[in-house]
Amino acid sequence: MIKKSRAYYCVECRKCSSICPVTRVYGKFSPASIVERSLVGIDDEVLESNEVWKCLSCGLCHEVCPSGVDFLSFTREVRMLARERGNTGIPTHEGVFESIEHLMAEGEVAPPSLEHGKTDEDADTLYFAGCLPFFDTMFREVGFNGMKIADDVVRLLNHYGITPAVHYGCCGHDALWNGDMKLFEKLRKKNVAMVKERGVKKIIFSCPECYRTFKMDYPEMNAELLHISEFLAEQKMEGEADDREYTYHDPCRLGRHLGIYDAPREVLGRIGVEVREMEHHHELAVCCGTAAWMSCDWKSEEIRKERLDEAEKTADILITACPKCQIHFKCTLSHEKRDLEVKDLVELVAERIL
Amino acid sequence: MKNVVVIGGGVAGIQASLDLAERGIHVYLVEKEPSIGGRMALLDKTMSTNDCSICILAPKMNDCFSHPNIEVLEYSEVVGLTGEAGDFTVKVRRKAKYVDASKCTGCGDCMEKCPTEIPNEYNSNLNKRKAIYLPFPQAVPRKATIDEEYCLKLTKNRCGLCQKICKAEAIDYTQKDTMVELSAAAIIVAVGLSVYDPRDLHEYGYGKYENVRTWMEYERLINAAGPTHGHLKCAPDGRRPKKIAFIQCVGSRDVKRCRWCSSVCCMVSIKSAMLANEHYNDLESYIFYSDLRVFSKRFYEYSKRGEKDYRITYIHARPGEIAEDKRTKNLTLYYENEDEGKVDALEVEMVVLATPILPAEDTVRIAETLGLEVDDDGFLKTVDYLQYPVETSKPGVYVAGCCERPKDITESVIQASAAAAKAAVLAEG
Amino acid sequence: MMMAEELRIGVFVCDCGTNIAGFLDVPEVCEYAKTLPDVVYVKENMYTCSNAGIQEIMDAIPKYRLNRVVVASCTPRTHEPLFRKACEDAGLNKFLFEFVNIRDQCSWVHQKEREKATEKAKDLVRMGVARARLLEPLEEIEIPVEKSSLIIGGGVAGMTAALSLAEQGFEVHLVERECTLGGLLNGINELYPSDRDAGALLDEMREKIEGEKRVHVYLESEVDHVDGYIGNFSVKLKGKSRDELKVGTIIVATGAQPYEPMYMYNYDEYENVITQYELERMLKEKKTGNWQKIVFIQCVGGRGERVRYCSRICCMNSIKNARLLRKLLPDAEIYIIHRGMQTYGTVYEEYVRKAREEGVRFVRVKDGIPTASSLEKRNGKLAVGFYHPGLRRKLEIDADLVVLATPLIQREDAKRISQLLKVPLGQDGFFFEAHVKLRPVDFATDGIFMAGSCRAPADINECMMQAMAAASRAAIPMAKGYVKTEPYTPTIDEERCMGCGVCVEVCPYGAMHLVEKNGRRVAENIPAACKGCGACGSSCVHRAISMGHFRDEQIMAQIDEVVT
Repeated sequence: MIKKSRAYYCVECRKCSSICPVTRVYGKFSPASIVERSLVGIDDEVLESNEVWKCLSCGLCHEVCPSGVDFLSFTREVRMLARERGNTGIPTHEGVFESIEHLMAEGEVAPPSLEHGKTDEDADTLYFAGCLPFFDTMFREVGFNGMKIADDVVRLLNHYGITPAVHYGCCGHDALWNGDMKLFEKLRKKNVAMVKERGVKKIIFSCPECYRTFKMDYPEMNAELLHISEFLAEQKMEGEADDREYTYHDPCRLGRHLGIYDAPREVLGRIGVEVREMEHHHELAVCCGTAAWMSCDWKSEEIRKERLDEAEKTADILITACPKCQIHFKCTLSHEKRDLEVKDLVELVAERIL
Repeated sequence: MKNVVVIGGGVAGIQASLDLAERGIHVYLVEKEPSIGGRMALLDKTMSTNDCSICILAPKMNDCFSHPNIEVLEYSEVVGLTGEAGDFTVKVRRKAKYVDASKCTGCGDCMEKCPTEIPNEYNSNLNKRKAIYLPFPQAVPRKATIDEEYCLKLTKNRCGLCQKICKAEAIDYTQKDTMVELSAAAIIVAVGLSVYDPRDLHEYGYGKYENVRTWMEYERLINAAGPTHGHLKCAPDGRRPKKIAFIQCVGSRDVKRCRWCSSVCCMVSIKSAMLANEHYNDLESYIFYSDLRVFSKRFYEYSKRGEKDYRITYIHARPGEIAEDKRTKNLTLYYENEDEGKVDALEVEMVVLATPILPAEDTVRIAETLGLEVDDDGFLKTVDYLQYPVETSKPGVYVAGCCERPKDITESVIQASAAAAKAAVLAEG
Repeated sequence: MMMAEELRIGVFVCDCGTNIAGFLDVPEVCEYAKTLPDVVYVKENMYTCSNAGIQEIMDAIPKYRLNRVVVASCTPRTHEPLFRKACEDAGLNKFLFEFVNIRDQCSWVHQKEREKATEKAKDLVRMGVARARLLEPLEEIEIPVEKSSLIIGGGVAGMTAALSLAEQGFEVHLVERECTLGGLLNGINELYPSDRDAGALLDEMREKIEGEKRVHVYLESEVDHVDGYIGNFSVKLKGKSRDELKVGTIIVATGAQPYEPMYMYNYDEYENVITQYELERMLKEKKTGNWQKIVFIQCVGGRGERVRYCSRICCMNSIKNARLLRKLLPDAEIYIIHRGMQTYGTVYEEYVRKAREEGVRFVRVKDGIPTASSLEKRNGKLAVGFYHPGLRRKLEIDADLVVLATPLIQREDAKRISQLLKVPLGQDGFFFEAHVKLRPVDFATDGIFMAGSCRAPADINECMMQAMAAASRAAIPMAKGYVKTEPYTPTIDEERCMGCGVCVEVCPYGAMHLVEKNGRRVAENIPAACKGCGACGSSCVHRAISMGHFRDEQIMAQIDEVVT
């Protein structure tokens, strides 16, 4: 685990812990200390602790690490080993999503129908909509509407002359980040087979986690992969400014993991939205507070509140390009009155140009 | 007896030239700026003794310029090399200064009248200089130079005020670049360094937050001859700081930027913190480091003195980020306090970033012109690090100072003398 | 003072464009100067330093038969040599020139007080003229320099200096106390950063020295006595060779020795607690054990423990040996416990990265307290305890071998060398250079230089660089063939001198000594060694010493002009 993550390059400068959003609110968790412990050979303690489940894998530490230590791989590796020892962390929502992932590894999801979008199951282009229908059942109460996002994506594709095939299912992202390699492998194989069978050339994603997983964790994937923001950035569109102020939240997967910062901003610019940046943006953007449905507690809430504070100070509307970020923000907004609206990028674009 | 060409008139080039000239060897010292002195001429104090940098260098600059065996070719660039060790021909472009050096007395009247103001690179662009200028008050030679890029007369055929005001009748707008060929038995390359621009470390907000400075800017701010006459001033109201933080390794020892350790920055920051405290004795400094590199003679003792007598606190951490208070422009550094295992916030009025030393901008061009190898980091390579400390990949060409790797003044001077020893053999042989 | 000739003083007042003329009334100063006694010629120049201005001085000297010249202008710092040269070129001894600073110290600092500035300029000119009246012509004498050098110490620095000087064409006498050249390097296995065999490097260097006919090696010999000054040292050896040598310059390259960590970490008790240098020998003799865990402890005795300083080379040394052990014992765990790795520069930083890659583990502890907090023998292992600041707790490593990285310290006989050559040692025990930045291998005493670890701990690269630098510095007077004496030397009034020796004590250049004259001890100046600093003159309580060009009466005359 030291080797794979290049942790041996660590010079103990502790910049990772100095910027880690979790350490900021909860000093007992410190990426530097985890690495240092493994460097002095006290792995056991790490593997048996709850600490390994605190990391958001947001990648800020990796972003600023001068020694190039890949704390993300390190975390994945550590979680794998921890799981082997029966240390599985505390999943959020009583582990319901974990169960859904297992179910999806075994069977197919009956595709729900879209309200407006036109689809064609034989198309060259696939829209991989991920878990959106399942999220709806859980998060309608906080005002999240995943199927609306899916519908908007398809409508936008239609608008630009594409009638896509749509696939709902789990990419395995959460299993992978929670160290459940068995489950991940199952899902990966299934998805790779699905893509092969459909023979699609291009896959569009609205969820950065699915996108990251296909792009970085499916080595055999050779279809063209695009986030919907990348697709939209290449299309002609225009819009007019309104009197509301907008800001954009960089999802960790889309931003730091994949380096996509400009495409969503470009799209917003074209539809007449002038993005006002929050205090932390681009590679320094702060995480929405939870990842892979793991360890959502007061620390996550604290981080989320800080992020919403930043957004509220900056704008009236917070745009994200990740359904999970939206869920997390809306969850906090559901029990905390704020002068802030949260929206997905595609929802806004669809509103403006369709 | 043959000549030696020394390229670069910083402290290393000056030392090499003087060593050779003193023993009777004729030296051409080629300097690209209008004045010799290099980086050391712009520093405030030198570390471990806190000597005034220009005060100890200026006599050497003058010795060099007035030495009968040294011909200084300032404002000149090496553009070609032919021949081999013992018998080189070095082609040099002497850039037009548009000022007749034999007439100019350096009185400064022209600079007073010149209407064109441009950022003053000799003050880290913290203030303005004129289009006709002396790089700094102690410039050697003390002769004005017209910046052809900005001079109204040269660019738009307007103005001409400097010519009108010059009582010595030294201004000559018709001057052209000239080429000279110098014969040399050996060459010493001492083209110095540049400093990393830390704008890309967004977490520290350099370029965005006014009170975040680089160490080189700080050298000019604390310098009596600098833009603030040695007073430290903070935005927005020019108040002087009560707390300063220094962050080490900003861009250095960093695999994405400069992999190397710049050798001098830890000591530079300790020195800078001491100077701040000497100026204002209630001032406190915090130095954030990852390994405090204080390895040379009397350096460790110096670091301890800083702690004991100059209100310096050393903190082991690289801060994760700096936030600015929009109103007060004060800066808050977030860092992991390892003693307590939590992220602490420290509010200060000024932050100084210790950015790494890079090879000088034109090192690659010089290396190509002379046919020298550079190492992976862009510094000039010696044949063998262990055994041949001044020999470049080309016989007869020797290296000294920071163009070989980052080093302090002492080590630059040592290497310069060592290079002179090698060059002398060829010149006298 | 006898003044045979009539005084004829010329005064030149510079406008410096507007730098002076813009802030004070130069014509008025000129008119005033004309009224001063013995002033026969006064001239205002727009720029005295311009070709035209210099020509005016040179023309005026013969025309008005001037025998003193005063220039009132910018600053002597930059312009004194220029005006002195003008006098010399016109046939006037250049020490009959006097500089009056009316720009840096007058017009520039009183830019808003024109009248006061004008008055001050007048005062300064009057003072300058008063001093000029009493100036005396001085001469600089050339003293021949012996073209050979003595190098004390045959380690890597001494050998490199010897080879460099020989290459530059000088005779070298290389004196080594031991029976072989090489110094500390003899006990070293490999060298960083190229991991070259130290023995091979030594063989190569010894061979070069043997093949160099200009280098004369004296093994098992020491310097017994040194007399003389730059250009003319006489040296007597003792030991195997008792030669007497005449040399022009001396380079001290006596090296350093590793500190023996007695009573630290049970070094004297436990077998497997060894020093870095003992490990070097084991590696050299290929006598390594089957160690499973090896711990290097840095700064043992250094950085405030037994000595105050950081010994610079120990970090790299430990990394080098850790890497080597890693290769020899691939299954062993190797830890370096340190207080901040000193791997400065491009090459060393890369070297430590390689070590990390290869699996050498680094543990940083706080500086200012002992690196390891405990070392005990337990179950046949050496339990090394240390406080991990990042984890905020004490940890232990059960080691089979503990290597103590101790600092280099000054050799015991450095004091003797220091007294022999009258050169100083610093607080840290190492030889003390003339100026830490600008004259790092020179002693303040002319003709004596230093290189290598006798100056401060240095590695091979640094020793070689310093040795070549010292060779360059030593070559200057030898190549020139002469040294010019300082013109501002003291004159000693032997009637007044009590032979107390205070001046000998205070002279930083070894330029004063006591001699027997007419049956009494009196001070004598050695012009070749003198730098004209005046320390002797100002410390002589009997006023027996008077500094050339700064005689009491010259200075008093200036002061009298303002206070009376």
